[in-house]
Amino acid sequence: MPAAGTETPLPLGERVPDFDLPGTDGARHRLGDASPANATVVVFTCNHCPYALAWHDRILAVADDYAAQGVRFLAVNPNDASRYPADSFEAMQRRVREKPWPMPYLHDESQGVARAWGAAVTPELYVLDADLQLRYHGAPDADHGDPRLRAAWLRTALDEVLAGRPVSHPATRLLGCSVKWRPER
Amino acid sequence: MSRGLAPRGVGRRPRPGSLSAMAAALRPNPPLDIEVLTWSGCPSTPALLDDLRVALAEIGLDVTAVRMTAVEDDAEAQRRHFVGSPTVLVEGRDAVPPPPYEAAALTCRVYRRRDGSISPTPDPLDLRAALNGALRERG
Repeated sequence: MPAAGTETPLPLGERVPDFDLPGTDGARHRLGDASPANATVVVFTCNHCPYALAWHDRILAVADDYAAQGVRFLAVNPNDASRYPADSFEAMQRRVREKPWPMPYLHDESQGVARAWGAAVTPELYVLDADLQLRYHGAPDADHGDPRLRAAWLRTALDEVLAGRPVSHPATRLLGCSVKWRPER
Repeated sequence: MSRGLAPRGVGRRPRPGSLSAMAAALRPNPPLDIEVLTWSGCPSTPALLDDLRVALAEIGLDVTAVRMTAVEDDAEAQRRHFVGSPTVLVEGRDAVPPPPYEAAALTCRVYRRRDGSISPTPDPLDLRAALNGALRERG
């Protein structure tokens, strides 16, 4: 059995913990960056999970579609690369080189961010408002196997955050691969 | 750890001349050896079993014929060359053979469906092909 992460998900409506992680682009990326975003999406994802891979293109399409509205996306890989080499930083760099992403791909090597956020699976999405308060937590849409859904839950949450409205369905059921925690935890 | 699936429709005998009676007559004897390897950290097994149930019904087999085996540690994953959950073995052979370089690991398995999409479960057509191939080999 994999070791469990923290069992406590972040509370909706509260400001999320900050982080500062290295990206495959060679830069460090801080969540509480000086440049403000109208909304921010943090995606815990990885290289080897079929659910993350199946939803990947849909999430990238949302990042492209909402960039002009000042929405920032940050992808975070929290998996233990020592047991899952497909999720090593080098493998992450290779993946982004092969097909560029419209968002930084960050390495949570210590798994400290995943623990602090209570991330449990990949993919797992967090939508934050301009004040970095959590407004949506869940999956991109209802079915990883149906690309026609176009990450509808994520798009709806973003539309509502950008309009300054409460998110109508702020939490949805997660489906994905468990975060691969280090065995010593 | 190996266990059978919960039986469905246990105790019911097919009516003579019914479709299920004809399917029962066609069942291979002894039945195909079908084993599903799973890892509890992956949520894909129920979807696979739904697909497998349909594929088995088409050839007159009950899903109770399937042995479920949990792989829960790295040593067992290495020993069985378990490349991810779920893995379906028909007569001891992987229904969707992975590439030889695929490493054993406790993980969700990545399948490529016939339309090119990535999926946590095999393409149902690949399941059918593996089952039918094993039946043909039985002659």
